Parts: sequence; C-alpha cells; structure tokens
Amino acid sequence: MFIPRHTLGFLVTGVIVVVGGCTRAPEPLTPEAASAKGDALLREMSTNLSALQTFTYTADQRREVVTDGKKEEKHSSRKVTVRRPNAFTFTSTGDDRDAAGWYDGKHITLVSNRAKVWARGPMPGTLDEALDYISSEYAIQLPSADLLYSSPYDAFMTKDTTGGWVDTQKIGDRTCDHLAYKQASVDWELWLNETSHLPCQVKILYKDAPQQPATTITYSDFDPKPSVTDDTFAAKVPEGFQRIKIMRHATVNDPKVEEATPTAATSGGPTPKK
Amino acid sequence: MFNTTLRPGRRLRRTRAFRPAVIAMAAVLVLTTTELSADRRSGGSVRQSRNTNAGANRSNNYNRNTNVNRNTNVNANRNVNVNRNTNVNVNRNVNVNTGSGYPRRGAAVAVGEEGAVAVGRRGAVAVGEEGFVGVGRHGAVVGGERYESYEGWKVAAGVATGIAIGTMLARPPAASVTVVASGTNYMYADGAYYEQVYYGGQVSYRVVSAPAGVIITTLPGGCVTTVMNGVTVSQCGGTYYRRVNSGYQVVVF
Repeated sequence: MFIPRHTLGFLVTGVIVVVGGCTRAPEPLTPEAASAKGDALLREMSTNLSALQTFTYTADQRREVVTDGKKEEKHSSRKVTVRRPNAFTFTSTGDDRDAAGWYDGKHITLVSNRAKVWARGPMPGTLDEALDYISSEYAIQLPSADLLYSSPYDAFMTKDTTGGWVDTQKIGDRTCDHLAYKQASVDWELWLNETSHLPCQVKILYKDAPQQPATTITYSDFDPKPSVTDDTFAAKVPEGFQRIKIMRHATVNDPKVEEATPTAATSGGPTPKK
Repeated sequence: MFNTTLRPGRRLRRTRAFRPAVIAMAAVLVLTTTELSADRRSGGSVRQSRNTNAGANRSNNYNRNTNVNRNTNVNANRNVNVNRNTNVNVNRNVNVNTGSGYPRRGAAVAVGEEGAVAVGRRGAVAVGEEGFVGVGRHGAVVGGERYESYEGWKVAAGVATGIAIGTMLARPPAASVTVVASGTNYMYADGAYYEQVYYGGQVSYRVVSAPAGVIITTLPGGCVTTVMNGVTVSQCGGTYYRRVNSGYQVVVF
C-alpha cells in the first residue's frame, strides 16, 4: 500500500507525540513536597521494621577505606538474625574478614575464623542500648545499626536533617523509592522497596573523614518470620580458638578517688592533677 | 605516664636522656592520635557518626568516660551497672600484674568475671590476662585507632625511635615471629611485642611491653650489657634479656 510521504510524516510525528506523552517524566516535586513524601516513607519504613520481632536479612557491603592516603573499596557480606528486644547474631565474610558474633542480652562474643581467636565483653540488656554501647564502648562500626533500633526514623533523623524523596530506582530487580538527606557529618541515601517500604539499600557518605569515603549496603533475602531458638543466639566458639582481649573505653574510676571527691564524681570524674 | 613502673613501688631510673625521651614519646603519641583520629569518623551508621563526631569535637567528654556513665547519657545508668557488676569491686586487693600493657603508679586491679581492668586516679588503663584492655581516660594513651601496617605507622609517625606501647596495627610486621609467654601467643619483631586484641570489631595487633619469660633467638639492635641484681643481662631499651640455651629470655626486675 502506498503511503504518501507527507502522510507518513504526519503519522510518524503523531506516534512520537503519543509515545512521548506516555513516557514524559513526572513533574519534579517541590522541596517541601519531596521532604514530606520522604518523611512519610521513612516513618512507614520505621513502623514496619520496628514491628518485626524476629527477622533475618543479608547485607552486602561495599565500604570505601583510605589506606596510606589511597581510597580503596572493601567488600563483605553479612547474614544477620535479630530478635527483639535483646538479641542478634551474624556471620560475616569478605575481603578482610571471616567472622561471627552473638549478642544475647548480656554479652557480645566475637569470633575470628581467620585468626582463630575470640573475645567477649559485657553488653546492656536491650537492643537499643546495645547498639549505642557497641559503638561507644567497643568502637565497632555498624553502618546498618540505624535500621535495627526500635525507631529507625529517630536513629536517622535530627532536627537539622534536610532532604527527602528524589526518584525511584532499580536496585537489582526491585523498584525502590530513593531518598536523600544531608546532615552535619554525613550525607545519606536510603532506597525503600516501593511495595513493602523495607530497605533495599543505604549509602552513607562520611563528610568529616579524609577523602570522604562512603559505605553502601544492599539488602536482600529478607525473612520476617525466621525459625529461631535461644540457641541461635548462644555463642559458638570453635575448639582451640584462643581468647583475646577486647578493647574498650575506660568506664571505671578509682573508687578511692570517687569517695574523696563526691562532687567531682557527679560532674564527670575527679579533677585532674595540675 | 612518665612514672611508668616495672613493678609497683619502683620507678624507671631517670637519666639525662629521660626528659628528651619523654618529650619524644609525647610527640609520638600526639602524632599517633592526630593521624588516626579521622579513622573513627567513617564506617558507622548515621546515628553512630552523629554521636562519634559530637564526642570527638568535645574531646574531653568523649574521653571522659565517667560522663558516659554518670547520668549525662541515656545509657549511663545501665552502663554503670554493667561495669560495676562485671568489673569493679571484686577482689580489689589483687596486685598489679605486669604481664601485659602497662600499669599506672598506685593503680589497683579489679578482677571481674570478664578479666582484669586496672583503675587509676585518671581512669582505667587495662592490665590483665584476659578480658578487657581499656583506652585511657584522656585519650589514646593505651590505644586509639589502628594503622594498617607497620610501614604505615612508620610513615605516619615519622620518628626514628621504636614503635610505642599501645600502638595498634591491623597486621603485624611482615618479619614478625610468634613467641609464647604463659600460654599466650605474641608476635615479635625488631624489639617490639604485639598481642592480638579485638578493636573496632576486628582483630588488631597492639604493642605491649615485653612479656616476662619470652625467649627470642636474636637480640634487637642497640642492646648494651649490664648487671642487674648481680645478673648479667642485655638491656635493649626498656627490656632486659638474660642469656639462656635457646636464646635470650625476657626478665623483669
């Protein structure tokens, strides 16, 4: 069938217009609308996560580290099991680790299969306190910790945090809402499954550290009803592993000094010698 | 720090070189702390980063751990309870053990369920067989962050003297060998002894004073022969060795 050229031109133009109209990008949100949308998604994620009493997930981590002035990326994968209010366990493998850990509401026990050593230290009795303690006391960095608090929203957000919803992106085969925020020491992004509103991925940029390294964690294999028992969270130290010390910050003072200077104790410790 | 003792009640003899050595040591510690402080600001969660940087900017508060445990922090009471129940007020009369780390003058040792933590006038510095190694109250005196390697430390420290006690490495020097004292493994290289510790969730190697009884095959450089308590020994920096059949054994006077 012969189609005159000018007719063909109209047809092609019409198809382009129709197709273009169907795939036209949505109008960008105003900053206020993006902030509100992000906030709503964050709160929903927080509610959904904190409602889970027991869950497991896999976290694939890409962490930028600065070694001898050069930035390089380290990979690791961690399988985590959490049981509220006061237990978690994990196994971790990667470029520089082959480890396991258990928190049972009383202790943290860490095992290094690579070095064939283990260590144990006391811990507070709830997960929220334990997550703070593990950082302040043992200097253990847990980039996913925000998601494990009883209120992930409060762990992430401060009154000075700015940002909101950005767009939707594919993380693997999942469509995820992409949120981005800024605050004093870190910028962070969170991708939330657009269906379940559970985390697909988090990225944290450490602005105060040299060369501003970033850590990106992609989550998968989420199970909201795993089968666990008390034994799941009981430490299992392989035979023959040597116990070593665990570094922690000083948390006690000489009782004799405390008794001599009770006012100094309540203000934060004995007055240093001059 | 400058009254470091080998045993309670005894001091290092002050020589003409003492003050310059002290100043050099202080410089090393300042360099160590400064160089490594940035490491603490990456890798944690958003909340952890917020808390870490808030503390680091107010260095006294970050290192004044009694504040953390004295009702100025939401976790204070529970932390105090945790520590009191497991570390303090149990068998206070145990004498300081010089097996590892370095004791402070007049420090008592509290032995708890999880091992020993020494407490002193300025806070806890760890001495012990098992359990905890504490970070000093006023900063990275015992340990702070860690260097990736001995070579990395050398570049950062930029000093000609040996690696300081308390320095931590991600891995021991390439030339190190394993030595044993009282059933505990240490790494040894070039006059320095390293014990494995968990720091920041990772196995690290912390420089400690020479463990009594360790035997090495070859003395490090710079040793001099001297007589201590009627015994001929080799003095290598602050460590004394006596000749034994299989090499040189660390002795503590």
